[in-house]
Amino acid sequence: MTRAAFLRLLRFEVESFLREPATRVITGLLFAAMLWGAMNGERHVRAQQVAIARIHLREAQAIEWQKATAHRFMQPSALIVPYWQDPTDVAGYMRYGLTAFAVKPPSPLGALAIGGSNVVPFYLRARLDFVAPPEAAYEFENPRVLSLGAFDLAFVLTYLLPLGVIALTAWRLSAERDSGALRLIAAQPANARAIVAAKFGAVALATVPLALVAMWLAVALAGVPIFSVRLLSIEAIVAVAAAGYAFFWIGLAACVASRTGAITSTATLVAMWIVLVFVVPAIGALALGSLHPAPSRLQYLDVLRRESDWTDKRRDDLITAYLAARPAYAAGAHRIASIPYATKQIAVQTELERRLRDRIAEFDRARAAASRTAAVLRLLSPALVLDAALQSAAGSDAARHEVFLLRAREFTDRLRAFFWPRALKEAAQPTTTACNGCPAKMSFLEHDDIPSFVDDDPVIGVAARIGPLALHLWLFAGVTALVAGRTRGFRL
Amino acid sequence: MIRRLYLMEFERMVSDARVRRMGSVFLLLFATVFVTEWHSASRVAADRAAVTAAERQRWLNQDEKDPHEAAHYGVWAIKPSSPLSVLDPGVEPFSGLAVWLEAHQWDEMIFRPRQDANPLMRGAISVAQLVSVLGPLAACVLAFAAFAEDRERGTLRLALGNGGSPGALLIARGLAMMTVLAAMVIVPAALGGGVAGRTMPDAGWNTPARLSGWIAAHVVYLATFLMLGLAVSLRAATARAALIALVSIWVVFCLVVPRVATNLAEEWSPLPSYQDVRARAATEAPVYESLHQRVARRQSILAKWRAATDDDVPVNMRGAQLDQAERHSHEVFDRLIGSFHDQVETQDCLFGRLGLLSPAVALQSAATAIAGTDFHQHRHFVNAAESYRRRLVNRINGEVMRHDVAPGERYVEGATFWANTPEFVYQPPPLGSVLAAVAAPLLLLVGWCAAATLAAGAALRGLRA
Repeated sequence: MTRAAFLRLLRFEVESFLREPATRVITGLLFAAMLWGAMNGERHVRAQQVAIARIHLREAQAIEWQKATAHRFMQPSALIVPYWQDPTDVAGYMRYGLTAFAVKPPSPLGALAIGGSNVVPFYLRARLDFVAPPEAAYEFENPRVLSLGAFDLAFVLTYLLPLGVIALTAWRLSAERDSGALRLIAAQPANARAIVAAKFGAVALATVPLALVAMWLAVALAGVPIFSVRLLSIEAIVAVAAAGYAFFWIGLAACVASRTGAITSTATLVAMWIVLVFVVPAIGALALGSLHPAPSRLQYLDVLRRESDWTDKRRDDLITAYLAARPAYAAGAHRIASIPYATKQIAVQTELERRLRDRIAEFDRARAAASRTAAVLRLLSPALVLDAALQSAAGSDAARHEVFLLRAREFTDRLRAFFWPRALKEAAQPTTTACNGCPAKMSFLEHDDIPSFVDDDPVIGVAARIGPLALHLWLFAGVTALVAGRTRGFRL
Repeated sequence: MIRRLYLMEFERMVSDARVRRMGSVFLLLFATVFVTEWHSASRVAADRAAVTAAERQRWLNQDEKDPHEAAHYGVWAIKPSSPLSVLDPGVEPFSGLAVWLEAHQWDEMIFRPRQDANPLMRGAISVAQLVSVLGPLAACVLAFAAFAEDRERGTLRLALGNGGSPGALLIARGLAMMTVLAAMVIVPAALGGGVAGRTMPDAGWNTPARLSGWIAAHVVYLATFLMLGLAVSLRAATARAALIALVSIWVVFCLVVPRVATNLAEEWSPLPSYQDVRARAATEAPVYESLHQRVARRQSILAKWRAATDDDVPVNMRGAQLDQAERHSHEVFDRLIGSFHDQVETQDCLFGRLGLLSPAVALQSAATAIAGTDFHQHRHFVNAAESYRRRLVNRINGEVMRHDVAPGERYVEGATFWANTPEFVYQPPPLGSVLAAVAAPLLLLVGWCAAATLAAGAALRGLRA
């Protein structure tokens, strides 16, 4: 068959495909689903943005209130203010007054995939004392919603797009074979490969651009600011990944439908969909759970209680040793009885963390090992690869959360580096109140200098992370295209 | 006649290699999923028992101390899961395992298993998902060709021409398919539930009755899809058309509508921001009161006792302040957090009523309730633990109030006091109250089954050979 004849055939097939009512109905339904999915995703993003704005407001209001209270307590008064109610007492402030949060803002493309962002916390209150467990804070989502999964764009692309492709392709050639029309087609001067290429190439040429336009149109209509230069590279790679995924399913349909009857083709493709979308992820999850079981949180709780009991009983000994070991604060070791509980907790906390270090490392190790294995297992199913790409693009992936947890810990360390030396210095050389008759301790007046958390940029590095995933999807698509192109197994 | 037809149909289906292959895949999946879940749940149950016992010992072995310090030391309550969570984990992977019961605060349940897990674990499927998602597909696969294929081949005309009753044929085929479906899907789940019930602590969950109810709900659910499949097969011109129609119904009912219903429930019965609720609770009932609040509280206690100074008050002023602040916090928590939980339950009720859109939604709502893994029963534990916390802290504050101490002295309690503090023992809600709470989705599930049966009957009356 000449190239020109093939192109004529292809054009004819594209036109016929686009004229089919099923094409319009299925494309329309998919667009509606994409729009709804994108709107749900964007609503989730906005809810997080509102929550984060509220957190920042709460931080600012706390500081303002504390400064006003400090000002009041710095006037002569008969009031007796306990240290934990005095915003100018460094020890009291760092334990009872500090209102600081680490937050993970949603990405501008967060509407693409809700991913794990509704399960893991997107803000953490910084506490200088050990928080057990550190991830205790989270915004409540109805757990039933979490267990059923969200209707977001990732769901539509990963689950429903392949079903749409199957509905549009499972009968191509297979129905013609059942009716005997394939023999007539084969009597024309076209070889089997050209027929398969024209039939399924037409679907690909029509469906993939339609799907991509529908996807970005849905995202734009949902209110996502897609026309931003810094997002272009990510958007392009997401489009490439989604196209690769669609091509994979069209290729798979070509492999099956060109070799079987309509019923077998439909049943086989649905079975393959179940295997790739349900069974492989489920087996992957089972394998992951068996290979890297998470250490028991309940056992950890038991150890934490035991160790806390041990350190609490030795609070005075611990702070004495802590101060004595640091020449700058050694003077405090001789006046332990007058050191406030909050300052003593510095030593208790340090010892507690030392004693729990191995236990905490177990969780970190198990999580890291599970992440490595998951990255490999994910490659077994194109559905998982696309889902991972969408989550990374949306900033709702596990890798970003790991970085967030790490940065939250670093933030706590920065706060400790700010407060602890001040509190220890106060323990060693107590401030002499500058104002006679004022209830304020005035050992801490630098409320405006307290370190604040710097949000990450959810867009940086995303393109590099999702590029390989997009390529992997095209590898899947290439394999199916190669198999479909082989005429062995093609029958009239 | 129906019995003979049933046996023939059953034999034919059992000898079908495709059915045997499908059954083997189902059994393999069931076995793998069940063993993994059972192993993990058994480990959690063992940890729970050990940590609960250790917590009690820690409480009993406290040194002599101010009882308010003991209230701050608190105790951890760990939720005993229903043994059926092995089959149907419901909200458990997304709700906490343990809660700290301490003075002043209504703490969150923490340790949500999915929060700790790799995101790939969200792809994990449970026995309940196998039954509720793949079970209907198996029903559709068994039923699509039941009549449509015979019609295409002309064998239906032959069967009916020989005096065969279409009604008898429908009943016999339906029963044979239900038997095969039950053997593939229901029996393994029932066996798994039985093993879980026998090997895991029941802890008052009444597992046998719950398992029976759970199985019954799933039988009705699968029968619905089977009758739908037969109705479509009776109506469809070709087996191909029947297959496409049934796969479409499956996709819509089992995959799309449950998530759509979730969205609708969120849209029509939205939840306020929990962060906001918690922040308001912290403002209205702070753990550490400001000086202003403390002064105001002291004044109100003095006014209550018509006293001029602390010494004129017939109870310990510190104890009275603690008690008043604690009771005030209870009112605040009930009004804010309790009302938030009410709204979650309202949303869940609405979701259950959206079972009108799909039997899968009705089943999801009813089955998790019967298994003891829905939010209603999670909240039951949360409330029971919170009630215990309040009793514990009120008792301690009462003791502090009763013991007036001279300046410079400390009031302390020891081993006897700790031993006289009752242990927290959780009793899950009775099955009757749970069933009453999910009456709507249960009725909808039965309604779906009746409607599908009526549809099959109507299709039978219009049967063309």
